[in-house]
This record gives sequence, structure tokens and C-alpha cells, in this order.
Amino acid sequence: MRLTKWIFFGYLTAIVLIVAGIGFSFTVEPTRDPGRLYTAFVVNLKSLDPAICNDVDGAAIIGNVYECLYNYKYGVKPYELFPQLAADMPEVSEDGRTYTVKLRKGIHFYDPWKKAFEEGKGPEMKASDVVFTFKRVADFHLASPNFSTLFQGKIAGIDEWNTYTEQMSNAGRTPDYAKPVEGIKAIDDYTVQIKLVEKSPQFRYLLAYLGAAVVSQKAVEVYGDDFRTRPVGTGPFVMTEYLAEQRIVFEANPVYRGRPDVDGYAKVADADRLPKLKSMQYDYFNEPMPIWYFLQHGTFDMGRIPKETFGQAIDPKTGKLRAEMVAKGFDLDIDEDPSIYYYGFNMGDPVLGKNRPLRQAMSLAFDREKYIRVYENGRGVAANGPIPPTFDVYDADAVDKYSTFDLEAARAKLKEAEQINGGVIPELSLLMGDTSTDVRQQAEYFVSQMRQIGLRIRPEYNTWARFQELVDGRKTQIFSLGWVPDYPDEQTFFQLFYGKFAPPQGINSCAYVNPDYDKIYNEAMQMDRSPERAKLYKQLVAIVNEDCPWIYTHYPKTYMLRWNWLKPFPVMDYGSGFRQYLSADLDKRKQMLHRK
Amino acid sequence: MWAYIVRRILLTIPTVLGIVVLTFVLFGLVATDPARAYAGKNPSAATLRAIRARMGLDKPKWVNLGPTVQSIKVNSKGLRVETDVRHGLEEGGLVSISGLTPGYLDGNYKVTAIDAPTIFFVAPPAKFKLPAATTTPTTEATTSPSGIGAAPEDDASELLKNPGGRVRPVGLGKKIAAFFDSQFFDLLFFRFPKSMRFEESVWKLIAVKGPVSLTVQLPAFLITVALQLVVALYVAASRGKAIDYVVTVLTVVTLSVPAISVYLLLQWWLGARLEVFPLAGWKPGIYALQFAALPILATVMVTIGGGARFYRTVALDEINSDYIRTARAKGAPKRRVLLTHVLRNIMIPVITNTVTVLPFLVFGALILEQIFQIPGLGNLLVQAIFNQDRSIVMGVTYIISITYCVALLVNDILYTLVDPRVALK
Repeated sequence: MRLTKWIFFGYLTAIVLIVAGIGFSFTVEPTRDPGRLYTAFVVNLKSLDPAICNDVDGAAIIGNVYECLYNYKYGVKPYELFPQLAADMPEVSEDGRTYTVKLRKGIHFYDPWKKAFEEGKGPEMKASDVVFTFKRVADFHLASPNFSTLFQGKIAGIDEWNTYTEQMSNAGRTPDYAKPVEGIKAIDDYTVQIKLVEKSPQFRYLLAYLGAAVVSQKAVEVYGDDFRTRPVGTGPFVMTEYLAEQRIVFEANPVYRGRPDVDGYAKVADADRLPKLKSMQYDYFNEPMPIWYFLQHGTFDMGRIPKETFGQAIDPKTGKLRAEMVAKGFDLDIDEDPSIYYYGFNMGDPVLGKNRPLRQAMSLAFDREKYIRVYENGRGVAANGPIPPTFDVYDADAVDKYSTFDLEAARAKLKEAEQINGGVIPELSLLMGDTSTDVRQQAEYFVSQMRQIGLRIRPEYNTWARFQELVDGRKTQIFSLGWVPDYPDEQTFFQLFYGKFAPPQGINSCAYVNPDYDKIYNEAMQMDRSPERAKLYKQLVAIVNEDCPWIYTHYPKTYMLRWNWLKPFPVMDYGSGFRQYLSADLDKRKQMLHRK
Repeated sequence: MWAYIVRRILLTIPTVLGIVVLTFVLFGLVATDPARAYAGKNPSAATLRAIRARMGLDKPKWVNLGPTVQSIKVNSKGLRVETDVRHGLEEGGLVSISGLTPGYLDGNYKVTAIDAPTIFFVAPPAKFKLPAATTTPTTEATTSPSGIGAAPEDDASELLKNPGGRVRPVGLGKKIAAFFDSQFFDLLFFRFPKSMRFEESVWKLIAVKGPVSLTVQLPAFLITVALQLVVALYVAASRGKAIDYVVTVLTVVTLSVPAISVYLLLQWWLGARLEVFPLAGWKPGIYALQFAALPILATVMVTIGGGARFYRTVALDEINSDYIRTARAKGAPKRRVLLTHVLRNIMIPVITNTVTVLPFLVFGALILEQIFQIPGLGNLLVQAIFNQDRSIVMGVTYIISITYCVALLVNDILYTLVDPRVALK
């Protein structure tokens, strides 16, 4: 009986302790740093290593620490590059294949954990670091998903280096980074020479892509596998706390040069020094509702509006922020994203591929305005071509014959299509890359639209991975997809229709092949940005519009809610490290939060 | 009893084997390429190959029969054997190359590594004569000896292609070791590849995230069981009275309302409306309890009903039995009868019900952790499924099943402690 009593009392004590502990935890409120910016992040960070990170949200976070040779001018649109770690724009040889990049002097790496560099402040960033960075992206052992986007097939000798590292990796040995690569050379401590396989005016944008952010060889070697959670960069912030999938804290980099566009030795007046906010915290949430609640409480300084609460924030009649939200202290920022959503046709499909009127009929039968109103809360612009806003070639007033909603014309086209097909069009399958309610509703909408002209569509829902596999293997009929550009050149969209990328696994997911298109594309690829090139680009748009390998649906808009103590700021769709420009009236925040 | 325990442990082995086979087959059926999912929007073949190598997906699936011979090249130093995969062989070992034309490389030859383990250097035996370097795959047998001349290594010419041939280590120990170097045996022997997303071993992740889940689950479990027993005993003792009906109705309600709606309701009401608890999130240290409070409350509310109802039924059986009547008749107070006689005798079903859920405490609740954004193992598993992080999903599934097997064994042993009539044979 003794034992039973002990167990009983032990049990009781445990419960009392739990309740007491919870009570106590509420009395010790964690303090909020009054000088810190609080925001949420919603993505699972793949890695804090720039070579591995290849998603937009991840890049926005680690872009606080790392810098590229080039970056985009803050708030300037159309987008323009400026030399960030480079001292000047690249010197390009006459054949357009050799880039000579001079580096800024006096820029140092900083290691907040003081493991790679004892003082924290590391050695000066030099040409050898750039060479190392590029080779590292191409190192097989690292398995960088950025390699194919950035350098593969573009820099001379880089593919051979990749093969060499693969052999070494297979043999369980470390590759020798002293082994030269033809296309990347350090001419002297402050000059890097890059040789390309062929002329590519877009290459300069890749040097501003965060995957090519310059890392320190010493830090990579010291941290080894831990490098993915220990960012050591040259940028405006340093990471001081990292709890995976919970919280990331950044503080101002003590050895930062004060502005991204000056040398390390430059004197920057204190008033102009960046970052303006000395501390930032990102809290991780993968559900939208908690973020919304915290935003309402003032716990977060800004955040996106989830679909569920869109009506609470925005007046559907005016499309503006509701008066009570304004009174509370919110501002609304609307940004047109340079991306597009579409339904793609598999041109290799025997029914769809050879039947242009059928594709045109389907495009005509899709009511874009209604779709945006009902399913996107009005957050989008009806698409009229493959190129979204913010690009030179985009024309908001242009009318594409087949991207307008016209059931009469659609039925006429369908008749033509049935003749080509030699009878009634069979049921077509629509492939979706998700199984969520939103996606189901979108698919049902598409089905209902096509039913208007008597076409039968069968939606199929898949996981994203399976979806990609089917699209890559060209085992689809119609699929729903979007494209977010990597750089501000229309080429990033035009490549999606290029015949060379049409075979399975290529990025031309609809397997569209048109020799006329390819000819113009090849010609335009050799040209720098100019009115002549714009002319060619417009021809490309016209060809694609006529052939209808896609049904363009919409260009999305982002709605961002911001407490008005945070000053308005331009949204940048490319580049990184723009948080250093953010500024807030911290006293006002204190007062407003206190008043609540 | 010891014999019983040993027998049970032995019986666990085929069970675990079955679990691994099942997990493995299921993942084989779902057959999407996790490397593709990881790579993002435009991966090249080289990138995918690199990712697969890091994920351990380039290993053979079931057993390792050795890498397939892709080609054999001849150069100044001898023969170069190129194979498709990197696993199963060690540098400088002896290999036998099977499946090649007899008379050539049948048998064992001394092999040194050039770029081991994919490229081997096969030194020919003294009497063996190399054919010319220019032959096609089918005519290699008839060509004349040469090729050991001054040809530079880069000019190594393809001597023969034999897609079916395999390279195998010689020596029993190495043969066995290589045979088990496959994805299946990696899983069976707990050699999980690192998670691609965390670059962290599954064990480390469990060690980091397990305590977080426990912080919520263990208190919730202790409170639930205590409340269940108190309620069950009290209600059983006052059978037929109003309180009995009220509690019965309440338990049925908690049983039938879906957990997720309880979570959302509490989050909205106590978190967002009344602001009593933080509505979601986590902070390490003592603050964790603050964030754990609401999930604990929610878990207790959701899980209390089932057990309370079950224990009430069990307790009723006991209350109506003869020895209880005797105890009451000899004048033992009601409370004493309930706490010592009844409670002790309903321990067997209580233990069955509680011990088997213990392993799940560590692994958390999938939906709960997702909604309250608790960075525990349940959340990890959900995210891993979405991200196709195979090593985590397979590893965690496998470890859960094993701990469950262990819990069942513990369960049986506990029976003997609470009820001397039970003997394990």
C-alpha cells in the first residue's frame, strides 16, 4: 500500500507543478525590443546557404546577410542594376563573351559567432572569394539547385569542373579548388574575369541573383555542414539568433560600410548610414490566421492579408482599405507582381497539339474578370499575353484576340476544331498541382467555363511533386501553372516557349515548338536591351498569342498591410537586402501599442 | 517471465521487418522523385544526380549486387572499368567482374582504384593478353593483343560495353558488407540519410523536437488520465443520478466533436478574443509553458471523453461485484472502497489504455502542433510529408512503430505487477 500512496502523491505533485509552472510562465513576460522590427515568415527555409536557397522568400531573408556582385537600385523601375560588391558595371568584351569585373576595396566578412574569424571581422573580400563562390555553386557534392539556373552551360569550363567534382565526390574525396576553371579567373586581388560559352546579355542579371552571393572560403571550411545555419557575409545585417522553424533575429553588421553602393573605406555620414533599423526579428508561422491575429495586435509590423479575412480588411466595393482599419493605424500597399498564372496545353498531345482552333476556343471561353473577382478577391490583372506588368513589352491596353471572353467566337472556333479532329472533342484532363480546397475550386471553375461551349474536362489533383513529374515527362493534357521571373528581362518568359527546351525535362513545359519563333528568339538573344529588341520581343508575343499554347489567366497582385508607424517602401521583385532601407517611427509605435 | 520477454523480443523482429518492408513498398508506390521536388523549378540532370547522391537515393533499393559495369576502357596502364553507382566497393579492394565474356575477365583480378569506387584499374594477369583498343563491344574477343602501349590516359578507348555485368568485391566479409549497402538495409539498420531540408540526422531532429512535443503532451496526458479516473469513479458511484447523465452526455459530445474544431474554437475564443493565452507560437525556456498552456487545455478537452466513458463502464462492473458489496457491508467508507478496491481492480484496462499511447506522446499530435505552431515532432512530420523529405518520414514512421512494439511489451510486464493472477509464460 505504501507504494501506491507514493505513486498517488507523486502524480498529484506532478500535476500541481505543471499548473504552477504554467501560472509562473505567465508572470515572466518576455520583453519586446523597442528598436526591433517584427515580421512573420511563412516558408520552410531550405537553407541559409545562398548556394542552396532558391526560393524568393528564403532569398529575402538571407539577403540581409549576403551580397552579390550586383544588385537592383532601390525603388527604381524599370529595374536597373548597380555595382554592389563590384566597383563598376562589368566591362564586356566585343564578342560579348568576356566579362571583367572590378571589385570594391575594404569590404570585410563578419562572423558573429567568432569561430571562423576570431575578432568577428574577417579578411577583406577579394577576387579569390568570388572565384571560390562560383566554383562552389558548381560543386557536385553541394548539390546546389542554383547551378542549373546560374552557370551550367553558360560559363566556359564550369561543366567540366562539375563533372570533376562529381568524380571526386563519388570517390569520397574533396575536390581541389586550386584546379583552374577556364571561365572564372582572378586576374588580381580585385579583378575577376568571367568567360562565357556564348554571348548572353542576361548574364549580368545572374550576377545579382542571390545564389551567386559571395561567400568566404575560410568560413565555409570552418563551419562545414553547419554553414547552412551560420551565414557569414558582407551585408547590412548579421544573424544573431536562429531557431529553425521558429525565429530568426538579425542585428546591424558592425563592420558594414554604411551603404551598399560605396567602397569599404568610404565615409558615410551617420544620418545616411544603413541599415536604418538596427534589429529585425522573423517569426515562423505556416498558417495564415495566427499571423493575421498578431498583425492586428501590433505584434507584427506588417503582413499579408489572408484570403479568409480579406473582407475584414478590404471594402469589396471600392477595393480600398476599410475606414476602421485606417482609423486603427493601418496602411495598404498594393504591388503588381511581375508573374503570371496560366493553363498550359501539352503540345505533344494528339488532340490538343495539332488543333490550334481548339486551344483558341478554350482561351476565348475563359472569363478572366470573373475568375479574378470571385477566386482571387480581385487581387490580379486579367492577362493579355505571356509578359506581365513591369516589363517593357507589357502593354496594359493591348487586346489579345483570344484572351477576351467571347462565347460566340469560342463556339465558332470549336466548330472548326471539331472538323480538324474529325468529330466531337473527347474529354480532356486538367492536371492540378495541389489538393487544397482553393485549387479544387479553381479547377471546378475551369470545368464550368469549358462546359459553356460544350467541352468536357476531367480535373485530376496531384501532389506538387507528382505534378512536376507528370509535367516534366510531358504526360499531361492541360495543366495549371505559374511562372515567377528570375530577372527583369522578358527572356525569362520567352525561354518557356523555346523549341530547344521542349523535350521532356526542359522548362518548355507545354513542349511548344515553332521554328519561326525559335528563329526570332535566337536573334533576340544576341541583342542588348534596345528598341530593336523590343520589336522582336513583340513579334514573339504575337506568335505565342496566335498559337495559344497557354491560356493566360492573370497577373497577381500582392496586398500588404502595414502599420503606419512603418514608413512606406517600394516592393522589390528582384535583388536582395532591401530591408536595410526600412525605417519606422519607433516612438509612435510605442505610443500606439501602449494606447491599446 | 524472462523466457517470455525474450520470446516477445524475438517476435518483434519479424514485426519490425514487416514494418520496414511495408514502409518501403508504400514509398515505392508513391514513387515521386524527392530530388525533383527539392530542386525547384528548373533542375538539370546533373543537379538532380547531385541531390540524389546526397539523399542516398543513388544506392540500390533492396540489396546491393554491386555496381553495373557501364564500360571497360583500355589505356596505357591497363583497363578502366566504369560503373554506374558509387556504393558497395572500397578503394583498392579486389573485385570480380562478373557477366563479362568468359576468357577475358572471368575470375578475380587485382584491381587498383583510379577514381574509386566508380573507376577501377584492373591489372591483367601475366598470361592474359589485352585486345586492341579499337574494337566494338561484340567483337572484342577476336582482336589482337596490344593497347598497353603509350596511349595517354585521355585516349582511353572503349573496349567493351556490358550493361548486365556487375562489379563485386572479393572476400566474404566485404561481399556481405557490400550486399547490405542498400536503401532498404540502411533503413532497417537505422542508417537514415540526413534530411535534405535540415541537413541534420533524423536522430538529432528527434532529440531536438521530441522534448518540445513532450512539453505539451506529457502534462496533457497526466492531467487527462487523472481527471478521467476521478470522473469515472465518481460517476460510477452515483449511477443513475442526474450527474451520471450529464457527464455521459458531455463525454459523448467531446467524443463526437472533431478535434480540429475544438482547437480552432479555443484558439479564437481564449487566444484572439479574450487574450488569455498566446494563440500560437513557441519560445524556448520557461516561456514555453505559456505557449503550451492552451494546447494542453485543448488536448485534455479532446481526449478526456473517451477514457472517462470507458473507465466508467469498467468501474461499474467492479462496483456491482460481490467483494465490493462485502466491503461496503463490513462498513468500509465509500471513498476507501472506490480508491483502494475499485481503482486497483480496474488498473488492467487503464494500463492498456494509457501505456500504449505513451510512444505517441513523444511524437506529438500532428494537427494540434500544426494549428498552434508548436515546433515539435508532429509538426516536423507534417512538414516533411509536404516537402517530400523522405528520410524524415520514413525514419519517424519506423521509429514510432518500434517504440509502439516496445510499449506493448512494457504493457504486458506491467500487468503482472498490478495483477498477480497474470503470469507471463
